[in-house]
Amino acid sequence: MEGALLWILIFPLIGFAVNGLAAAAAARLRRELPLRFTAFVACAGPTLSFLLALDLFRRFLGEEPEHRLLVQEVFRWIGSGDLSVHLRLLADPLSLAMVLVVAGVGGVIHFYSAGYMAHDKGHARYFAFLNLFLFFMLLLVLGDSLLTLFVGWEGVGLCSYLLIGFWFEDTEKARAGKKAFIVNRIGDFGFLLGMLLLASSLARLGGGATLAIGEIAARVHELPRGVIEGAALLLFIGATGKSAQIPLYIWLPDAMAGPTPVSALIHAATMVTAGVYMIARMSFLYELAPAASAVVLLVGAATALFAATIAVTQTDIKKVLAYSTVSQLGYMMIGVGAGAFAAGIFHVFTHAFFKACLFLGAGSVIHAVSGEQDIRKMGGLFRKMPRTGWTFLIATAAIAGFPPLSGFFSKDEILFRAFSGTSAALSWAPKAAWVLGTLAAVLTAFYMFRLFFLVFAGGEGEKTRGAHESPPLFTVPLVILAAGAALAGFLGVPAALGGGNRFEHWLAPVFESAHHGKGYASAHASHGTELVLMALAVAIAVFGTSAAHAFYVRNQELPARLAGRFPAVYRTVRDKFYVDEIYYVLVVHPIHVVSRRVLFRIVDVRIVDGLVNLAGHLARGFSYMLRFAQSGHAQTYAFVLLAALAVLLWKVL
Amino acid sequence: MQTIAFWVFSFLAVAGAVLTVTRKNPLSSAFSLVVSLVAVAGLFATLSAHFLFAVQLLVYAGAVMVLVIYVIMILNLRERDMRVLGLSRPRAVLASLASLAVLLVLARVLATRGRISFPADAEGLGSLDGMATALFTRYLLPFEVVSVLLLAAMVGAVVLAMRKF
Amino acid sequence: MAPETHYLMVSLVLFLVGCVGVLARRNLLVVLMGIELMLNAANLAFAAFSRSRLLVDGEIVVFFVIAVAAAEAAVGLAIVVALYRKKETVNLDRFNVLHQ
Repeated sequence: MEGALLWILIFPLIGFAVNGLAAAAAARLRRELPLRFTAFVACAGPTLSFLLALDLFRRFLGEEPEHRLLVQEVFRWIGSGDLSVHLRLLADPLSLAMVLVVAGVGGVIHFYSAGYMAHDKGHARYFAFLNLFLFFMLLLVLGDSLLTLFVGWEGVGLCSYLLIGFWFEDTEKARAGKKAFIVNRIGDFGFLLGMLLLASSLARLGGGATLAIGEIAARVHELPRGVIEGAALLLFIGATGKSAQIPLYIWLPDAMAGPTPVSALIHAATMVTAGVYMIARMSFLYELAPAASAVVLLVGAATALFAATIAVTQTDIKKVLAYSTVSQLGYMMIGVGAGAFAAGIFHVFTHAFFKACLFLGAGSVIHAVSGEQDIRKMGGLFRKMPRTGWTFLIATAAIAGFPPLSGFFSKDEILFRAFSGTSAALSWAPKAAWVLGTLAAVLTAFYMFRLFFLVFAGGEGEKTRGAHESPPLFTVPLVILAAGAALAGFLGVPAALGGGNRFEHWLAPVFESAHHGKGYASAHASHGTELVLMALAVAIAVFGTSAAHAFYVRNQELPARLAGRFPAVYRTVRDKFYVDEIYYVLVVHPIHVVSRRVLFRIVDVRIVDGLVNLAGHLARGFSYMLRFAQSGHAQTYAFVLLAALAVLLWKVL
Repeated sequence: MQTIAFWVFSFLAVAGAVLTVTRKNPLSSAFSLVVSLVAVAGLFATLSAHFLFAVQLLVYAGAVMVLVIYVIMILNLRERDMRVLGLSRPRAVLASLASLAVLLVLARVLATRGRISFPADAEGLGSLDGMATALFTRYLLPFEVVSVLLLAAMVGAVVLAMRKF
Repeated sequence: MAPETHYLMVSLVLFLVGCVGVLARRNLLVVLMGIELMLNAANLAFAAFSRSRLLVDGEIVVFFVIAVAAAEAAVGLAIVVALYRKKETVNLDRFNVLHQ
């Protein structure tokens, strides 16, 4: 059934249209839309899409691995000279895996939102945007050409802006939305350049320009080395924006201004993983580009550690999770940068579960303490909100890397491949990435359990007076996600532990070419090494957790004392290393000044307006000169007649 | 004989024309024009266009010019007006130049054509007989139309002169 | 007798003199006379051609031109009278209502 792919896309789009039009109509008629209606419409979309995807998955399982491919042409979009772009949807193991995550986790979050946004007047608009986001994300994942992917890429950026600035009456929140969009745009510029580089290089080699990924893959060997590296690097710049890596991660912490389910869906489970997905999709390109891959590797590792250090000092529950997301995305980049594309995607998969669970849990907590987000004012919530507490604990343990939860398997796989990988460009890069990643893992366990202890353990906090467990609409999604966080790991049990690593095998047909690459030897390190690293990972998790316990349960003076000993260090880390401030001074402010003083005053007012006015003056002047021809004096006209006659006769005769 | 007549009448026609356009007093212009018109009638005669000779004298030199003189008298221009209404120097120069240009061009054409003589015998051309026949057979429609035109002109003239604008 | 060419030359000169009159004079009446001169010049040319080709059609044309010229003179003069009544002058330079 080929139409299925299109329907997967269309269902959320219909939801958007219905809710959007209904919201507009209701606003006009000054009536209220019932929540039941909007929520129903909104949740129907992802549910149906998920069911369709599930059915497709079932059918794929029945096929041979080579035949797990479904292409559906929607229409021919661009036909201009050499370039021919078709809107085609492609379902292969990779995109299907992503669709299941997006629609599945997305669907769960939609249901959660029905509870969370119950009292918000703008719930229709919210659900409309949420559905629209889902549509674009699915388009991004299912697109078979870079251009289609880019449409989805931009579209999710748009929805991110709309949803971050959802409560736009608050200027700060609106500004956060703007920041997200603009920073993303910078990355998108790089992405666009990468796309154009590929298309034009292919066109120059003859055989027409194309942006269809399959065709690029087939012809990638024709491209000169410089083009491959350049395109890979440029596309990665786009990924740093969308997936919040250094240097374009700054929008993600600010994005917490949006509603918590939005943070869960967009900024944890799906949109931010688009960059990772894109690199995995273009695996054939990256494994021919060792230099670019080394960059990806190192940037990812640096980001993982950097964000983790900041997370240690944050006091807003959502900000901790935001930096945690940035850090985990860094892990995914380590994965794909080391050529372990399947491992990177596996971490996307597991991260979606536990991060979404953490964010929704945070939402539940915030709801319970009437909007407070400062964790120093919380505490002792485990007794009052057991279900939230347990799911949060499971997710925290997962992210910290405790076996047999999912985070352990995915993170371990990535670190193992980093440790044992090789790079044709920078030989020390993979090992360096492993070191940074391992340090980050220590910090991850530490700050996540710090978060858990401060919120749920200990005595009552300032604001926890009337807290009670949240309604089922909140807790059921939490349970579902926690179950995923716990069990998803078993899909990727590596050979070293006797498992078949079904996840990697599922994705293998997509990354076949990766194994023929020149950049990486596939990890042929022994199982022994892997087991040692696994043991190290567990030790790290235990160490981090106990350190957190020491600092925040047993000896609660310790953090303050430590901060007091190194005040400057503490302040720098807590204030995010002043990155935003540096950017402001170096980039934002100069642009503002130039805009105002030069571009506005001189270019716009003087030059542009001047030119327009000049046109007016010139017209006036010319007409003034020509006006004398209209003397109204008949003899003048007659004279002209005669003179013209003379000329004519001379010419003709 | 005819040649002499031609030169005499031509001289008169051109002289009359030049005087017409140069005189300050419009009445002088009008009389000069009459002279010129009569001379042209004479030229018609040399061309054996006897009927035209008569019509020219009767209608053009007679009726039309009388009408013009009539109007000039009615307007009763003063001496000072007449001075203002004389030849305009700059315009005369320009007009002369333009005319000269046309003259040169067309004169060259005539020159290349060479002298074309008339056939010696007119064979009854221009007689009343011939003209009447042509008028009432081949040119009957234009004849009737011109009649209507004259009627219209008559009505128009009356209306224009009557109304208080 | 004088060749056709001479008659055409005379016609040409008469016509151009009439042109100069139309263009250079400020008095409306004199301009009208210039127009009559031009018409006459044309008549002369037609008559010459008619004699040259021994066809009566040229003379018929002259006949009609004279008739039309008469009609035109009548109406033109009526206009001059009306204009004089309105503007108290026959100075062409004053008649520039179509001026921009």
